[in-house]
Amino acid sequence: MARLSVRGLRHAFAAGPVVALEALELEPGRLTVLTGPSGSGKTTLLYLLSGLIRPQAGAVVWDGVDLARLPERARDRWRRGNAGFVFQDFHLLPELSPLQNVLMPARFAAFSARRHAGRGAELLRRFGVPDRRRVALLSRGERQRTALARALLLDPAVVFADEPTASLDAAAGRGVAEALQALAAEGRCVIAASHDPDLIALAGRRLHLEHGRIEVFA
Amino acid sequence: MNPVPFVRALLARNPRTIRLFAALVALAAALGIAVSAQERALRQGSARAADRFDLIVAAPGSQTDLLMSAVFLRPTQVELLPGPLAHRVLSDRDAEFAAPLAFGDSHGDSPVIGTTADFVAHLSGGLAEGRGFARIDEAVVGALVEGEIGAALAIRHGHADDVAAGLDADHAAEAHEHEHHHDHGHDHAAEDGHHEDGHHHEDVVITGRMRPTGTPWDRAVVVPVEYIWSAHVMGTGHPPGDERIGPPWQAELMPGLPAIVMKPASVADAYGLRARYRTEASTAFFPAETLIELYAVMGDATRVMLGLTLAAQVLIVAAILAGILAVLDLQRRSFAVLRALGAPRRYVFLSVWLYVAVMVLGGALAGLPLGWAASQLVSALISRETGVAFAATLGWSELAMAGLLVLAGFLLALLPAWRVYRQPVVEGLR
Repeated sequence: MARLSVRGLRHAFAAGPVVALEALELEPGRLTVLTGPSGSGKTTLLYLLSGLIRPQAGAVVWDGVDLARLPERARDRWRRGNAGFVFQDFHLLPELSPLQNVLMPARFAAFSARRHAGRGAELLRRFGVPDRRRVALLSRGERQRTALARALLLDPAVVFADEPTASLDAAAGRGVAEALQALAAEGRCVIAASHDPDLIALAGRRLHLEHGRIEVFA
Repeated sequence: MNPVPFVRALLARNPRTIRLFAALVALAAALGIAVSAQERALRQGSARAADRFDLIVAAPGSQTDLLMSAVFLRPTQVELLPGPLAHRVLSDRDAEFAAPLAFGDSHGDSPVIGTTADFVAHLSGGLAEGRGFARIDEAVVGALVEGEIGAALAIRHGHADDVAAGLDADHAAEAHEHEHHHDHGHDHAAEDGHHEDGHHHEDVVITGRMRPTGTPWDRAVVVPVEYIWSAHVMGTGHPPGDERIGPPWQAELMPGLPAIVMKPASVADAYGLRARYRTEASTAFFPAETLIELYAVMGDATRVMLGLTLAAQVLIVAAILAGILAVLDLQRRSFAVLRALGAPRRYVFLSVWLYVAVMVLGGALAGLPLGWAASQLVSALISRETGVAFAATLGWSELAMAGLLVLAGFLLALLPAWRVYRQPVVEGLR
């Protein structure tokens, strides 16, 4: 169970202020969807909340751990232990099997991923991914569900998803959206940036961003 | 931490590019290995060829020319050692044996060398087939000379190379007649009407074949020295009517000789003999010593060649490095995704380093047999050209050279690894 508390968050790139967020509280067990036009700062906010970017000001506190104060190595470690990531274009390794892809995060800290092989296979079964030899042979929906399984391998409390359904057809997108909602229902904090009405419809909370600021908090 | 699956995936992503890079590394390694192995093979092969020639005594002149004539059977102009002096050298009791060498004639591509049966035995350690020559018109052939035992060989005046080059042996003989050079320094037989064909001597019959020596002598036709003397109308060193061949010869009838090979009984005798015949009238030298001097000159050339090879290798490695950086730029998102999933920086650093290291190591390992094969090919070509057996082998220096290339590759692999290590995650994800 992970609880997020953001205070006075500011981060600007050279082009101008991107994200300015006075306060934000997110409880576990909900699917939160960040919406907004392109360039509104959705992805940047995801990166700030996940510790991929260290904010220039403010605090991003997950269960008492302020990512904004941690050095990069510690943020990497926090992400490894607490967060999963899903991307629009899956970013799987097509040369490896689905299971080998799912087991990748386990290899960042240990030589052998054998300990996690059972869970990896179980996650693939749960998301209905066939046990093919290579990822390249999977459909796009299956690939994204493989990416979901990869994100969940180490049982993270937080799942970040950046446009997770944007590359999928409607049916596959709905499947992934429902899967994200189910992950939130298990008690995880799921934060997704998306334009997908299906995913937005399933959101427990919706944050609409305009020019890096939250305009609607529903 | 285990980057192997990720590295495997990276290597499988662009197999052609990887193979190309590895092939370039292999070529770079092979280049250095081939040059190094070839240089050693040349030194060892030439040293082996001179092994049986302990001390050479000849008329004053270039030792290198004499070495080329006597050991490597190359066509060079050498002065004749006067007969009485040659007789004294051949009779010297401080030598285990002394053998005359006379050359300047040919059979096809084979040089014809006049010497004694003892020297043939000394050179080849016995015959592979047949028997030694016992008459003036008999010959023992080298291991690579075509012709069966009992076959007659036509002997032509002049060296094979001169004949092949279209030089007129008679004209050459006349041109050098007054210079007292061995092969053309005396009246040609035809000029005295001894032969129907002005370019040919009497045929000789093959009586035996030497064992392979790995020297140009494998292509030689060896005849009694008396044959050469007689063909050049210099007598035989024996009284008229005496058909004996081999020593002893009569001092007053002794023709001149281009070279005498001596085998001293001891090291002290070797230096004693060399001092004794290093006079105004003659020169004496150890072929091995002359070869070492040649190697010293060759060594400078070798250093230049190795330097050029190293420069070529550096250029190849630099080109590979530039290519790898370009390939890795295309993969930057993969590294960024790994970081987003929680991979520490050192994981991507190690992955990239391993990725490049595998290419370098694979290329270098492939370069070893490639370099060996290249040096074998060059050795075969040079052996065919010179008759000297060159056995190019991979030694510690070639392995060390490949190791050095691998080490340099491993060190250079740190550059792309460091570049990816420094790459901001978010930039890679965009």
